[in-house]
Amino acid sequence: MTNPMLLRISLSLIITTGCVILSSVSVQANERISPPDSTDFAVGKIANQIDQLIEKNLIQEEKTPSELVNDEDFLRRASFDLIGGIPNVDEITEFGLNPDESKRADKIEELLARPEFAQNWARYWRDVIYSRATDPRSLRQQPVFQKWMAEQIEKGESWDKITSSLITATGDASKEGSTALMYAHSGNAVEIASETSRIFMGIQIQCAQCHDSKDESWKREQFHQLAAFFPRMIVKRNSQDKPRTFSVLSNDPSPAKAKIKDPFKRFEQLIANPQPLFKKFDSNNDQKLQKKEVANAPFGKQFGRILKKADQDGDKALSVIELKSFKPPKPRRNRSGEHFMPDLNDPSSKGTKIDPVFFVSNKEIETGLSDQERRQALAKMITSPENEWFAKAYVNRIWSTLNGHGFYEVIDDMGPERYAMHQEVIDLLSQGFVANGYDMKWVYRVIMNTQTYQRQIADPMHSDLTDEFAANTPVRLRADHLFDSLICALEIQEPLAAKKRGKGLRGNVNSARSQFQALFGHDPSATSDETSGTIPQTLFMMNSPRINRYLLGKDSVVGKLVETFENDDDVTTEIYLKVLGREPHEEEEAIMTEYLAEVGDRQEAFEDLYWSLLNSTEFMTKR
Amino acid sequence: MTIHEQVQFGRRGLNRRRFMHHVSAAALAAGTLSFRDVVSLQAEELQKQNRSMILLWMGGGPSQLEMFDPKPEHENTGETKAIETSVPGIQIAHAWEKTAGIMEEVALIRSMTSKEGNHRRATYTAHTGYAPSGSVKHPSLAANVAYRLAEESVSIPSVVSVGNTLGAGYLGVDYDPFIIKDPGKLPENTSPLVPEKRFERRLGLLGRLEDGFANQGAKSLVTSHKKLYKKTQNMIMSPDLQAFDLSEEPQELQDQYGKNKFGKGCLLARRLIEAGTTFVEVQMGGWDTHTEVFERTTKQAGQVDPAFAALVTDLKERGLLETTTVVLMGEFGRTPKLNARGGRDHFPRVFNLAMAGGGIRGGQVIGSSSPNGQEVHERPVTIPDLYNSICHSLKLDPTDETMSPLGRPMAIVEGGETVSELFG
Repeated sequence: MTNPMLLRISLSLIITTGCVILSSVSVQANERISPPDSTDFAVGKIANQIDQLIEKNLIQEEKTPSELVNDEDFLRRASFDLIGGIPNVDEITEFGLNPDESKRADKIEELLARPEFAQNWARYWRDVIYSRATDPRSLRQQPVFQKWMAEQIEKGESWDKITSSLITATGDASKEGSTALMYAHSGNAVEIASETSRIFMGIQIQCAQCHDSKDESWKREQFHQLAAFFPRMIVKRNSQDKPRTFSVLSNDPSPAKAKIKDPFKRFEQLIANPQPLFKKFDSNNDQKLQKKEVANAPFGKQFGRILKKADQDGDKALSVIELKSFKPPKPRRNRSGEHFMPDLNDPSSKGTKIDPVFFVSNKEIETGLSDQERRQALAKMITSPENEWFAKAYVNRIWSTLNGHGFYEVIDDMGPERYAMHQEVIDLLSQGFVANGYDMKWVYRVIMNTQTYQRQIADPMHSDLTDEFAANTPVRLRADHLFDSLICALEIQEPLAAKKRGKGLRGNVNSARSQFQALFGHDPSATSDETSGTIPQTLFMMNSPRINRYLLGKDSVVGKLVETFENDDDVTTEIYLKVLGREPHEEEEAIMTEYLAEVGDRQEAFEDLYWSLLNSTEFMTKR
Repeated sequence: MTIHEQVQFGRRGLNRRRFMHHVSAAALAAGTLSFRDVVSLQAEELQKQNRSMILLWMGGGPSQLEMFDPKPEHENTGETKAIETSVPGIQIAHAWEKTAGIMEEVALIRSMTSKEGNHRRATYTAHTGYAPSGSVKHPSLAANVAYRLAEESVSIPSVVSVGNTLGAGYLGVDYDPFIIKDPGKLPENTSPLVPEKRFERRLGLLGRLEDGFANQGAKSLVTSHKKLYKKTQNMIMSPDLQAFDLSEEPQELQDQYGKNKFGKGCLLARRLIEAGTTFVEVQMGGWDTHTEVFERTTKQAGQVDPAFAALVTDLKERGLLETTTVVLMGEFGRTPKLNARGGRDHFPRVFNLAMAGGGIRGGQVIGSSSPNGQEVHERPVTIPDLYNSICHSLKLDPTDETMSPLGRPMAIVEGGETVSELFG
């Protein structure tokens, strides 16, 4: 536990620089934001019910839940989960000293109200969408999406509205953030169908794309019925724009387009019986058709192309035999505005026309509807309270991200065939989410106010707690969280909008962040055992001058601490608080005392400690 | 000494874990395999040792007519002339003089064909064997090969690429390519900022401080973190890291490879294979010649031709060619007909590639294109056929499966057949 005396003393002694990212907005201590409380799904009530349900199951399984975390750990965990970074030393101290019984609930409210909450989760959803993007051009629009998403979260937009916007979006992708998902897959109906199902319903229906799966409820045709909601959309380059930009557009077939859909169609009928053709057009009677002879024929414009293909003797004229040998090319684009399911036995054929049907409810819509009508109808069906998977997918994802494990093992692979742990808990949360009008903050409030969330970590692989719900599971930090933690721990003071170029993390922060993202980023939908570190990441943490330059010498963060504190344990404590957001344990202090003696130089020894903690598992983990 | 320990010797000794995995530990435990069976299986496993691959990637889609399938008699040929090679009867385009000189080591396929005419999709397909999909990240060929052949005892990365390329997909970070941007120098961040002695002391402190967190409920995370740090430390401290530094090579040899990025990349590839890396990709962009195809291709070949020939010769002289499969290819070919800007456009219907080493019989041409270059005339070869052939060359079973995250087993490649003439 925190030692308030020590903290009070250390506070008065040092000038804490604070962390720019975390302290840009301060919330008055006595300002209370009360959660909505009038429904059957009041936050406190549901949080209690969840704890009771889980505890009941744990008792049946003869499992003992782990203890609740201390204030330091709670604050670090909640800060990562809501605002994406670590608390600074002041904040840790204030929180530890606050005697209020409701301080954790209050802290959750305070963090939810910060603009960093919107920023943090906008980045999360950016990674969800773009980690699977199949069109690399779309990656440039990530900031546009992020800005849009942050605005939605900031203004408290509900999850069903956000989902509908993403599914029905049109417009210039360089300006309209809601086009992200459509543009990320270049408007491809098949990819968009599978991603829509995966992200918003947690159902991987695309397995049925090629074959009827034996262990799935849904058939191949149903996947293509979902794709049939999206065939009338295209991604098109905006003319003259430099650099190139693109728009997501509805592309409904117009009657005019339908008329010219196949220039060879009529010609095909004509050459089936070519004699009358020759009678009419072979003006020099040489039994061959030349270009000038057919200039006014209905196929005159196509004659050049026909000649190229069919002129076997190279005399620039076509005989009856040559003409008959001509096979008109297949029309290049599907202009019908409908989706076709490929014929697996004949992949080059057009396939079967499929009309839109929503696989969950088996609801059909009228045939021949426009792009907007189709996508709006789908958005409505997906976000309908009758579709249990919509609420469940969101709740499972957020629970899983906050607690380190989900009700369903894989965050985005749910569905009727998958097993859910503590089924009644996810049902209760989903019902509450629906009853609260898909208010995203309600989900965070409930989960984070449960004892289940506030339990100490345990390692499911190395403990008797085979039921992960008896503890919180530690997970590796996402790239953005690690980046912000580094900036904070190294006390790099930098306004976020810095445009100045320079070396190290002090340079252009946005570009430093995106480089960092490129090195440390991972797909947030991947299960946690898929997201371990890499050698280049380790090399960066160990040896990159971009980090380590801030640790070396008298003017560094280490140097200042060494100068301020004469007592070695005080320096150790400050470093632990800055890097790991907690005080050192006794054994850790002992190791450090020993190390100081071994090295003999305070500055050098504490530089090594700072380096070691930045490279520790704990620094890179949400505990 | 047990047989297991014996086979650990050698440059890339038997990987015990992988061996057990593949031969089915259950069969051993159940006693269904006799000791002799085990030994013979090990012998088979041992044959796979030292197998490695170098992919020379011609990004953008090189023109087959200006490469290994010239059409000197046809109007499509433009300025490109055909030259004789060291193998009578085989002619290639004139910009490939050095390659012509080593044709007895090289097999050409002139009848590659696919349907992907988009750079991104075609590159993905050529690198993974599968069409791209948002729902599963297919492992690259490199990852699939390294997953089966890489040795844990090797301290440098098992997959290295000079230039950005596709990752290991669901096979995970162990088989992701280690990307080199600037071949010839040590990779970024491999030099500790403090003296070696202090660096080791720091690592010692880090190791001791990790225990607390491990005991607090993060044992698995700490264990894998420690393992990764150990691996990275081994790499930094390993003398094999010097494989990345080309300065030790004789000037004359460096000149033969060419002192440009691609030439250096090829020399690096040889050094890495020698040091135990399983798969190296070296990229050469700039083949997307929609304009001025003749000038640009000649310039490109000016780098690739000497480097390719030097690489094959060098590998041969060092006795590494027999166990190293070298493939030179791009994502598709280019239209036989010139466009209005003197360039050629994307053409997946017919393209070509060159292979050498790895048991491939050189001095032969497989397949042909039609006289005007518009169609495959004989023996079409698809990407799955190529993958089967590469697997054959590396002594891998192309149908060997790994489990995708959604529980669907996926073979290295689906369908296709080995191009048996390559090995005949």
